Amino acid sequence: MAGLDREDIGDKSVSASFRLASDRISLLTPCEHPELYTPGQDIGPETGLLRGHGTYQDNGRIKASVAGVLEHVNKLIMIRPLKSRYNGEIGDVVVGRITEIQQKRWRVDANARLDAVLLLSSVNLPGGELRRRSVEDERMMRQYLSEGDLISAEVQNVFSEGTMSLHTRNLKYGKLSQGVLVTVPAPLIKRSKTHFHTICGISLIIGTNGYIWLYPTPKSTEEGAGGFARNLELRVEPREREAIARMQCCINALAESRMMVYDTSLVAAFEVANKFSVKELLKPEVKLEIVMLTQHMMGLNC
Amino acid sequence: MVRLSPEEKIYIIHGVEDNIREDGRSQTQYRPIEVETGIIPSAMGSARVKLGNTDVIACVKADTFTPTWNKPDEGKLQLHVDLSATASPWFEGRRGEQTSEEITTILNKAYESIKLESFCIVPQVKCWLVDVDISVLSCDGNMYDAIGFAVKAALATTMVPKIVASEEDEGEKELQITDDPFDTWTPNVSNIPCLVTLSKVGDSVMVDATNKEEQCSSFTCILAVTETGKILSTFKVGPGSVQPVTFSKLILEASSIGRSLHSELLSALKKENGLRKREIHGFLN
Amino acid sequence: MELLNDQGLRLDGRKPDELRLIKCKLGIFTHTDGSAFVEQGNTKVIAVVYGPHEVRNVHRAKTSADGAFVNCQYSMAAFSMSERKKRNRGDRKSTEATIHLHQTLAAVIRTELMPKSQIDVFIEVLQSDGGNFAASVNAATLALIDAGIPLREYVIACTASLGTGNVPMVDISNLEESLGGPTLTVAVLPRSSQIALVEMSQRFHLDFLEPVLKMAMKGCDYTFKVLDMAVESYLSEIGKPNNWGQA
Repeated sequence: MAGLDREDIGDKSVSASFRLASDRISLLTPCEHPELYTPGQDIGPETGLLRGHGTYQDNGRIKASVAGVLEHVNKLIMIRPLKSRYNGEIGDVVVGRITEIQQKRWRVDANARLDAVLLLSSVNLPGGELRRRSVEDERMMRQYLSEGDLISAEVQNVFSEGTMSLHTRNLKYGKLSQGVLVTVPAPLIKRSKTHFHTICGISLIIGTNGYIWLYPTPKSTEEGAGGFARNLELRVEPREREAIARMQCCINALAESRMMVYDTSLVAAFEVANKFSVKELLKPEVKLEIVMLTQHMMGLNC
Repeated sequence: MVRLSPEEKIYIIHGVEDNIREDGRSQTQYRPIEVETGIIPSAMGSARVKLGNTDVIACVKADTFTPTWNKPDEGKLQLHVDLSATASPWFEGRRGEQTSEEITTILNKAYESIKLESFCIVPQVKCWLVDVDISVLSCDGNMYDAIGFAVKAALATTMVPKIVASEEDEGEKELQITDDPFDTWTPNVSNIPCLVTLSKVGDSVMVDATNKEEQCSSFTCILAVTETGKILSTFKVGPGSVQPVTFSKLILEASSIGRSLHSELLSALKKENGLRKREIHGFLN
Repeated sequence: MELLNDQGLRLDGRKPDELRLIKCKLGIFTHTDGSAFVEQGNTKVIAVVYGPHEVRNVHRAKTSADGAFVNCQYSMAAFSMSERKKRNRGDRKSTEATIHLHQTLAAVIRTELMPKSQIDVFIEVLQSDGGNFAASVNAATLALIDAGIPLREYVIACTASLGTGNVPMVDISNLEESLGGPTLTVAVLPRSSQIALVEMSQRFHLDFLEPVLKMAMKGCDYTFKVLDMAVESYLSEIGKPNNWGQA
């Protein structure tokens, strides 16, 4: 450790900008809207209609129980709340965090109403020894996934009270290595054919549950996103870090302005964000510009 | 709060060392800060500070007290912090109260050595006791810095009713609160410090840690720095240790950072004061 | 000081059936599932909702297969009143308000749809000027709507009292409460006209109960209209960019 080096300290000039409330920038503006329903509002008589999510029956009438727009699918009517926890469906790809290790299974936080479960039998582990009933189960389990670890997985099953059962029985799923987790409200994620993307040099897993994983694209094809080995030696390059920080800013800007977050909107936002230096990305006016130009590029305007 | 995986921590640590943090900031860059004073009109002074997603409100109320024999002409400044459950379910109930008490103790120690002669009304008879109540509504790291700004901003815009001392017949002074609501005085805040929290992450030192970054810090130090860059007090929180040489470097950095922060905050307050018609935004629009 | 002067106006110039100005905003925080800020006159309240989520360790015993467990906390900031409060929560008044809040919200939250989970509703009163509990109920309703938690309908609360000459007054301020007689707080489900909670600060003569109750309920109706408009405006803001969740 070198001695006190005054030139060293002088170099580091702190950057702090204080704004006033009057300079606040909002990413949302009131717009025209289709007919909106609020809790308790009468929708119509029960006869001939099937009531779905967001509605309830009261005295022969169907009423709304959440605030939102009414959707009709033939005779089924439902209202989707604009903000809610994730409701899992079989086949969804999710990103989750291990919260607890229990008997032969892990509990996973996947931004849902209840923690999901990842059964030991739903996981591809090297060697079949772990399938044996053994007293050392918990210790062995902890070697592979412990509390705080992140995984990508697929929803295998949804139990009656809403708990999801996940599986990682595919090479592309498994424990996640170095990267950044960004959270957005689950309703802003579109269900699509693929949730694994590579955009502008970095890789993403867009979990249907609103958890998005950003990570440096693996150099060799052998290192998939899956597997259970720990990779603490890798040092991510500055160029990739900048790209990840930029992508994080884009995701947050889109989420704050309530735009859908998917590959097309992210590519457009990233392109706009490229003209700013990575240190400016947190400024509210930069976020506003990203949002407005992205909306313009995608032909969405209020 | 949120538990991180070892890989996430390594990513953050290397990022700080490479001067490209998770959100793109440099080691010496603060998140956008917003300050608004007067948001609780019923208090003598108040300010809300948003530092990234950390959101705190500080309110000032003054009362009088009889000073003790060893400090006959100085007032008192007392801070109280409440971690609201709105910031996190962790702060609900008794657990939140206990954590708040711990933080209150640290804060009061940090502000202990400020000279408060300006808070004296009549020496040995009456002085001002200024209470600052702080409510933390949302916490994403660097709570102390945000509290420091809010306390200073609130005190700088506090209006305390004047107390006039009038001579009575027997030479006893009678103290009366003035009837005129506009006859107020504002404390001199030039010796009120800013709090600068420095965290050592990996081999580097940085400011303004988020919740995630705080979890990767091996050594965190809070320094109370005055407008002229003098260090009033230092506190280390949490486990971890550093070499003495590193610690000296930290102190020097904090001094220069503190000076910049004071000047930025004061010029923002001046700008706010200069606005012709100011409506309180608070939590609306 | 008379509660109503000879022109029939109150201390702050309002007519007996006039409410104070109501301002509100939903979605004030991003780290919570739902949040709202409500201002009624000088009373300012924040409500925050976490959940529904897995029941946390502390409350594990309360997990129920029948429905969600609703966990409330009512807290007043130390600076909320003119006299500094030493204890924000856990004192008798706050504990009582917490229990009443729980009772009021339990009437509308469709807990049966969310078995084994937990919903947290936390209130922080930032400035107190009468009608704190009523404003808290209103803020809690907005925060629950923001979080997308299914409700039977809104629950709205309002206060009412008697002025000089036994004239019913609505939306009582702190000063009126300290000078005047008993204050009635009513929480109502406005669309179905059902009462979820009635609370009195002192004894009321039976003859006056009905007119004061009616006045409070009228106040709730008016408040409901204001809040419902705010919800619709908020929905339009957060819905357009994603086409209200439709493909």
